[in-house]
Amino acid sequence: MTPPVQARYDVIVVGAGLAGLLAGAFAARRGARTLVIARGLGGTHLGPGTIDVWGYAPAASADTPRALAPNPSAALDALTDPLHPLNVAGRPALAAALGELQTMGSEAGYALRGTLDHNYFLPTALGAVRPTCLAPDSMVAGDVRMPGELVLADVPGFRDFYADLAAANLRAAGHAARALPLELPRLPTQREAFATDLARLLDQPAYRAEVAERWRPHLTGVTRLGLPAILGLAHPEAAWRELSERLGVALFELPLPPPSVPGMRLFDVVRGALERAGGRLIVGPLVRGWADEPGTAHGILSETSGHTRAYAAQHVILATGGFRHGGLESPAPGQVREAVFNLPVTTGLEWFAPLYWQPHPYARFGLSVDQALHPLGVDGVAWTNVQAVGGLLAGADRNGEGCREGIDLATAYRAVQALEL
Amino acid sequence: MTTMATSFDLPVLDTQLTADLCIKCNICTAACPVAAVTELFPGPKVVGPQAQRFRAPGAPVVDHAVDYCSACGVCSRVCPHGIEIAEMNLVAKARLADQRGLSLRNRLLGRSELVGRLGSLFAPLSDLPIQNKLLRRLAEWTLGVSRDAAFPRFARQSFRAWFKRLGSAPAPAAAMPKVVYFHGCSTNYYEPRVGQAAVAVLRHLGCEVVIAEQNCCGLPLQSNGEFGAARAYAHANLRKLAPYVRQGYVIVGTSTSCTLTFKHEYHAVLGISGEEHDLVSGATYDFFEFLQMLDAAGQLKTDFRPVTRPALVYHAPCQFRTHGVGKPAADLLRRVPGVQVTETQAECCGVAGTYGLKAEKYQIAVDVGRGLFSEIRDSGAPTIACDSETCRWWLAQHTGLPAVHPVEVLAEAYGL
Repeated sequence: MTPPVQARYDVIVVGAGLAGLLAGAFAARRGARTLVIARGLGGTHLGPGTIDVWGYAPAASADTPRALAPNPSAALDALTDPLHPLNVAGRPALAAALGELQTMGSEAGYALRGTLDHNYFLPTALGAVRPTCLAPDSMVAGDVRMPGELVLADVPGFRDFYADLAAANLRAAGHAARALPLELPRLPTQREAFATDLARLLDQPAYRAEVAERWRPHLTGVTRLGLPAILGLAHPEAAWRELSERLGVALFELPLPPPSVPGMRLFDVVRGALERAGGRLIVGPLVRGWADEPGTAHGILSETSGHTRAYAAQHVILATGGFRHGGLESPAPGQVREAVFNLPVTTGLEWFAPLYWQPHPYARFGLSVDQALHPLGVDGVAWTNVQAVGGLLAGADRNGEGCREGIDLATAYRAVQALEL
Repeated sequence: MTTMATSFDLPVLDTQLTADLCIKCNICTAACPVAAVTELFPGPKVVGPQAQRFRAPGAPVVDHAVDYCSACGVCSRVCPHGIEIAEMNLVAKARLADQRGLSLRNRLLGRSELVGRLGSLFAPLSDLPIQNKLLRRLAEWTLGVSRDAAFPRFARQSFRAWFKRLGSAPAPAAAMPKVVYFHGCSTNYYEPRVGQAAVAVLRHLGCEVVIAEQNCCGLPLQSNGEFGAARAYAHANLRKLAPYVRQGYVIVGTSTSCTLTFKHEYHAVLGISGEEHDLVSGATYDFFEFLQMLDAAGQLKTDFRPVTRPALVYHAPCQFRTHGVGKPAADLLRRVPGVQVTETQAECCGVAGTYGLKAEKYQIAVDVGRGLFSEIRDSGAPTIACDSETCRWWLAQHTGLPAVHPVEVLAEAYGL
């Protein structure tokens, strides 16, 4: 039995990763009464806080490494598959979404740099090189093609970043790099220091001054200095700018394993845009679809604190992600189901490639949609008021192609645009 | 539900079994307001799902850091895998308390109904020891109750006494839900004005309002590790309230931690289930959650008039957030002409029920709340609105601003 309607919204978005938050923010900014509801946080907090649009040219053979793509726009020109989510959404949606996200960043005092025809080549915490299209001010000076040795801060007592390992791997790939021990004062002594501890310390101007005082004597001859991504949570722009000036070097951050401080900043930017535009965010409940029969949704059912609550919606946007984020479930070997409305999932006979690092077919499993991102039902007919965005969509290998956030942005934008709010 | 007898009869709950779902992503740790301000607390992942594997039934609890969990619940909400971290920690804390022996302080703080009943019997005389600085110093030294934590004053007339003298209500509207109002200890003994506003609003909307026999929800006892006594209160409430639900009443409360206890804690922490539990839990609404539902059904009056203090800063308490229903109080108050609502971002004010009242936790609680105190001051609003009494008292103490329940503003807006 369906409980009484708890509240009514124009748009309900399920999922609070980057795609869901952005779809919510886009809808709220266009005047829709919007609710974003999610089981928990994840998408942003597990990622590096940058926007990958297209990262890699296809490998020549299974044995050769992928080539880094310097220009996402040019790489997308060569992407001919009409069912790839980036082609379903279209280039205008992608470009507009990048622009609007950059606006949200600027409004929050957190600039995201970059353009669609350029990738930064940024070092990772392990010393690999990762192409990305948009990155915060605090990362772009790490581009390995820029002149200057990559000097990486080795912070004793902080276990989430090993500068020696990163520097050795960068050197092995032909980049000038070395580690430099630099101590941070006032680290916790009774437990491990988390990246968030250090970021909160570096939010404080007095702490930054103390750090600069200590580090300056060690930085003779250093032009750019890489730090683990700890440069502030609440005031990252000020933390990066002020410490760079005090140290007289170009500072750049290397994203860390979760919880990702730059990912949390990105979450805050988009959440702020959603809430300033009057949208609501509920985090915690388990969400199920509410529909009497396939094709049209009444809204969603939220299971929370001993209750099921019914929320009515004109439009439901699913941004629940793939297998790793709960949007797709595999109840038994070989079986796949979509978690909210039990929509049909486009799969394949093979799930896995023989070797771990090869592209796995299951990465492309997901929902097939029409041009307005309505998922197709078992009969091939599109649902009328449900749309799917982000990692839930079929047809992309988000990690392998380096297009994770590009899909989130473009499809979120296209979905909301199709609502004609 | 799986149950196993332990040294003091704590079942192994579904809650604890969720520990297996943890992938160690640390999203909970990043969100934890206590770990953010003190290194005495290693964070929810460590004391929750990670330590859970060492908590065999009957075995001693070795991880004493779990005692620093304030049970604000943000970890459980942000967890993408549905692990009931805060709930798990509460069970571990109770086992720890059992192992160490319960302090007189925690026994006192857990007994809000008894303290309220005795205190209001002798009010305002009973305020003296609580408001006297010298005696508070003594209480900190002997009991460990922080001398700096503000306590409310006892009301000279309890809410129930007021309601008894209240004249009969106008005939309720037939189409409107019938309501059992759950006032909780704080409204009854300290802030009858909140209950008075709630009754006035519900009657104005045409609801029949019954003040059923009821006890403390049991949450303070649960938080202080007395699960046996908490369960006794729980069963007493279920016995007294279930018959009303069978007759079609809903249970509506203004004390957001009490309503959450009915909905969630009885099962997830105390391990209670059964027909009476399901009836009461499923029929319980927090006040503005209930009004939001009436609104969706077209049953909410909006004959609002301007209020005397229209600029509000609204804080949704951590325990309200665990209801998972958004911020209906802020949504509704914004519809009152002239009312301006600034919403706070901070997850928790720090006090978390009785946590911040304890001498060894007081400073941690202040540090947790510091960001919220500045948010409130920076808002420029002269009045705080908040759905939880302990948060209201704490925020009023630390910002110097008056704190009201949103229902008090709404009652004024209806001209009641």
